[in-house]
Amino acid sequence: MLRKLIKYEWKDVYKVGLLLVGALALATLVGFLATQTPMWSELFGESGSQMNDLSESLLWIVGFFAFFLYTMMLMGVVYGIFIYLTVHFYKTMYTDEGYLLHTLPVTKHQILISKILVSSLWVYIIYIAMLLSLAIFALGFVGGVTSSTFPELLQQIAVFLESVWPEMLREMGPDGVSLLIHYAGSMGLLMLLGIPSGLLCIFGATSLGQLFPKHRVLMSILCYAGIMIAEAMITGILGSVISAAAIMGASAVESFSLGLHSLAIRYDVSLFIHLLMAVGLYMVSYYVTSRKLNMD
Amino acid sequence: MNELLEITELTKSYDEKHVAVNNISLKLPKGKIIGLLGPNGSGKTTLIKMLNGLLVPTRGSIKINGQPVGVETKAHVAYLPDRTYLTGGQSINRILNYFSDFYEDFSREKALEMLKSLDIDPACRMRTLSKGTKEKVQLILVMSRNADLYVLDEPIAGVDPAARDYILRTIINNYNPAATILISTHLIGDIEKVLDEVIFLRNGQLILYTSVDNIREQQGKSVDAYFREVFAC
Repeated sequence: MLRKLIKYEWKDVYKVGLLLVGALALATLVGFLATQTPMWSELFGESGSQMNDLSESLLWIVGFFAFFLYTMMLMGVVYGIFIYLTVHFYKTMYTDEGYLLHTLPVTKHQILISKILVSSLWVYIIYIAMLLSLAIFALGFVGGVTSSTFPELLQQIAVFLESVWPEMLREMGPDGVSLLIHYAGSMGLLMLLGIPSGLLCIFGATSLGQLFPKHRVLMSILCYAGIMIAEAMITGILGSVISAAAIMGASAVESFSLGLHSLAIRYDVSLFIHLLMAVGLYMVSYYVTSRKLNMD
Repeated sequence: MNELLEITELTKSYDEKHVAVNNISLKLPKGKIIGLLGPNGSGKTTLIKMLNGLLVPTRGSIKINGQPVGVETKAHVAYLPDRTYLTGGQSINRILNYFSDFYEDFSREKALEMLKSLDIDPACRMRTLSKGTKEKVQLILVMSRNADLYVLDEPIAGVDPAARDYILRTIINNYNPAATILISTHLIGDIEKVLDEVIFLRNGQLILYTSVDNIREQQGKSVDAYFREVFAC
């Protein structure tokens, strides 16, 4: 049944998901065109800033607005997917549409898991599309400033990495490399698990709001804000304690290295707390849908 | 065992002042058409929602075929809500696929046959249909199941008399004879002729559960007339 639920959940969501990917493609085109205006080369290129005539001024304005539009569209798509998925979750779970879902011969775990999986997949897709968009923009930007062609740019990046990377690793030493791996691992996990756990927090807050007799949508938003504040406070306090404990009594040179290590540990702490909150809020969603469901 | 539904000391209260269903105990047999009757606010819809797991009882228990409300019972209960719950953007075909996928007892052929008899194109999207047609589509979906218990909440409210006749005909001609149908309605006169038994609810309490023949014999009245007498304002 889980597979069937996932199939229909995907069918429900994919149109809006594709629409947002399309919007992102359009935004990327706008952003890329913005990088091709003379504004960037004049601001960051070797020639310096100079506006010679009216047409160039107009290109500046167009370039600026295209860049502005690009950033706005990018933000809109990222926030848009979260807003859409939250509204979709709320509507299919707690409004009239939920009559169908909650009378299916499936468990509440299956319903929740199908929603989390499909929603997470769409956020991953949007994030990957966003990274591609940023890469295209960055390449366009560097190309606009340096007047290099696209293959030349890629070659320059490869050469740069080839020459700098081994030297950088040598300079860092074994401790530095292990710290880098620690950072990269923590960041990677945070990015990978942060999406489903973030969605679990949003869905949990939406479910918590259903426990109130009135103004359930407003209460859901307030619950989410409360959860985020609580998480930030716990992470901040625990992280500070860990950092302080790590560098206490160490010399200035040692404390720099230990400080960097404790920073990496803080990432781990925040990831751990985030995952803990996500598990807790999944249980809240399960509890509300199985024990406290009140379909008006 | 001829019992299909067993309700024991069932209570649903939203707060201390508002008790929607108050300590109802009831056993319903298989193979009957039962009217769930009562004025507005008597607890009919609340009771029905609890049977379908859309509301969690405050106290008491419900057993359908000996099972508490859950995955097992939902596979054997066909429920028609008192509202349109199918989203406008989806086509009837997609909804048919949905029902086929999730309910083993759903007959797609039967549903298509009924849709055809009403000249409803399965390719149509729900949003393009009138309110009455939407209600008919929902009823067709429910009656195309070979369920043990059909729970129909106000199936004939808000539709014209011709549509009412169609709906009643559809119910009578398509239900599994070994199953029980629980119909909630205000329009007693329209459905009286198909009922075997009736349940009267007032202020969330069970005040009568008897057969239609009993009312006719003992009271010398139709169910409609007796209902008006019992619930006279």
